[in-house]
Amino acid sequence: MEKYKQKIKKRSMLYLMLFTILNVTLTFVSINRIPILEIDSMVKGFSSGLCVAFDFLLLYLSIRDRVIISSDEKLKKNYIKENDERKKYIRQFVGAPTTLIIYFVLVFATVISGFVNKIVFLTLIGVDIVIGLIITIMKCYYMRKF
Amino acid sequence: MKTRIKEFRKKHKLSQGELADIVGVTRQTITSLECEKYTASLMLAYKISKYFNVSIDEMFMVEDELKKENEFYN
Repeated sequence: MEKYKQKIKKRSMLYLMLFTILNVTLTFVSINRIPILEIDSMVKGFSSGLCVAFDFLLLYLSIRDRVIISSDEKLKKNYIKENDERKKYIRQFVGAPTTLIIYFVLVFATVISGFVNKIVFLTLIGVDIVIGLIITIMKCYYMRKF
Repeated sequence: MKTRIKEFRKKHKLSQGELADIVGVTRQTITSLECEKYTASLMLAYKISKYFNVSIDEMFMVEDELKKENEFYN
């Protein structure tokens, strides 16, 4: 359990570090007007909203991990929760078909976008190829591993 | 897969949560095992059987499952 405690401690520190880096970056970007970041207000709003949400999430995760390591009972409960075999099985079961469904939806969207906008169409083709490659590489890796 | 976990758990006067804590899984996993919705891994089957001091064969109805499989192939 001591090993797991160390792992949680490290994870909490990592969350806190990412939180700090994100905050510093956000502050820097909002104080200094960088020409390359002078983009459409909707895109800017979306990006900053996403960053703030991610910021809060990191803070929450870091505090949660700190609370977990404060007592042995909570640590054990969390260990069981994180390593429960049924949950792992569910995750595997959800992951594989979901990836395929998303991929096919994306391919379908690519075909549809071809009738609307050429740039979107080419972007989606690029995404399709990258995702297809990732799926193939992962499959080959695990076929060799097991 | 059919199991006798509930039967042995009741005999030992254990709640699902207590058994879950002993074998290191969540209470929901024990519920799923008892409802035959989930099949335990070899490690979990071993842990549960060892705790109740019975063989895996006695705790999990492996024979029934094998019969079903044979019926399917024949």
